Amino acid sequence: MKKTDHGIVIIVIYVDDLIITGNNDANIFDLKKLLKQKFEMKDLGELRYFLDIEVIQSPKGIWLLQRQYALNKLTEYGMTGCKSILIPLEQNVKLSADEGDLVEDTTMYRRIMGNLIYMTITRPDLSYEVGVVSQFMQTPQKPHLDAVRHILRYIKHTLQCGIFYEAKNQLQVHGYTNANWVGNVSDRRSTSGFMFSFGSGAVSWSSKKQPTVALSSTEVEYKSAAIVVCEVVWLQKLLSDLGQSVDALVVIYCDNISSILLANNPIYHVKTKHIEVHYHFIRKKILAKKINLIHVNTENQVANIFIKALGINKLRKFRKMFGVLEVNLSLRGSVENSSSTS
Amino acid sequence: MVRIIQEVEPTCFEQAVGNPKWDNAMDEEMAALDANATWELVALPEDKKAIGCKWVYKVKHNANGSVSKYKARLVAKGYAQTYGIDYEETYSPVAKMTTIKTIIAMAVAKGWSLHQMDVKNVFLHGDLHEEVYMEQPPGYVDQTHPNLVCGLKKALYDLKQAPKAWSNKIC
Repeated sequence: MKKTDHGIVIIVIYVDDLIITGNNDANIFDLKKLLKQKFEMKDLGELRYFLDIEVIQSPKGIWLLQRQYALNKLTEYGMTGCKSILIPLEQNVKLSADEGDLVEDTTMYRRIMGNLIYMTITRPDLSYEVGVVSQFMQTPQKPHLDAVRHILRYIKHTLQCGIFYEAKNQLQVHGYTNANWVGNVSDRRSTSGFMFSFGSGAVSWSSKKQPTVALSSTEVEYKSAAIVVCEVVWLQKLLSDLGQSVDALVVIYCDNISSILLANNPIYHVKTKHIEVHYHFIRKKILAKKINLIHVNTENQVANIFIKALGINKLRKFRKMFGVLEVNLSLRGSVENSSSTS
Repeated sequence: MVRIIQEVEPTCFEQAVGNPKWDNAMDEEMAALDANATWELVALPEDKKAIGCKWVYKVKHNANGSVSKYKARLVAKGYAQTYGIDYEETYSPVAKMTTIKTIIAMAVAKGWSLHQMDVKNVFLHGDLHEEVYMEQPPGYVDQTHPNLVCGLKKALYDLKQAPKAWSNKIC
């Protein structure tokens, strides 16, 4: 990144692929010229296709989507003719490590996992489900492969969906955090999830099984909040590196009242003394007015998407809140209309 | 929507040679290596070993699935390199996906334009500091000096230190 009196230019380098942006087009062209002199480079013009991610630019905003990648993979696994399905995983299905016959081709299972994990780059609505099936990579069994097929059928249904970032938007960062207590039936560990959106679309999210067993739902939510705070700290650092002011308080939504109280009020309690380290980390940030934990109704808790399989209505609603919209290039149509996937 | 014809990619030199598309691709890669002064032919010192190399073939596609390019790449058999002798540091940073998304989201919100470039033969730009010797590439052995080996000056694909050499150059 380079900052001058005339403006700012940012280069993102991913091995041999470069993205260049900045607030002054003349600077961008100067930089391109300079780079072409120094290295043998190809100017690909406007950002359109990067690391198998399509970038669709329109006056209303930008879509990031992996439509072609997904289609190639569906072709590779002979799934193009399958019946599409509305949700990635059946609700209330609990998969465990011991489900039955081993899958014949374990390498293929692992390869699909790699592809699915790559797909989560633009698809937060797949994160939880992919996380679940990837836990069985060591010894994949028939029901696990069925679940994978289920996800692929959902991908077929949502091929046109990608993350949409609206143009000329407020740059407000806000986050959601959530966790399910003892979500895993085999090892009793909990899953925590979070998401951050920046402007209109999500930029950072995660669905991850916690490394330790938690004793209460408060503890689980609390640890989850601590993970989010780590992400906030990193994101604020990144934004300040990019020349953006980061003084604003970051609001994080959480649906667990007791963990919010715990973060705001330093009472010593016999049930929470073992989570002291997390506690101090969040407290410090709250006292420094860097973050604010706020309660949100479960109905509007988008991070639910990272901790359990959802029904169709909630899935649609949350997808929209994430900025995961169907690509729609009719420029007159409003963004709102383009989001209905059915 | 489905890509009907899937081009078959050869897996070794013997399968590719004789096919004009792949011959062309290999000539192009050799020209790039030459122009870049990637190596010079030298006699192998007695206490050194030369690592092997092979051709890798790839059909490149456009976003819509059509064929954009036939690409032949000469790669070193980096797995034969020994830590401490042939290479040392290998870490090289790449941008995190979240970073990329954040920057794109920021650029869109601010109404900045986004452009894209790519570096041709990226790893060949990296300067090599260790002494690495490689056998001459299949199909392109110097007829007058078949016993010489390539003393590498620049990094080559699949060398352990190639990504690091590139990131040192650009940062």
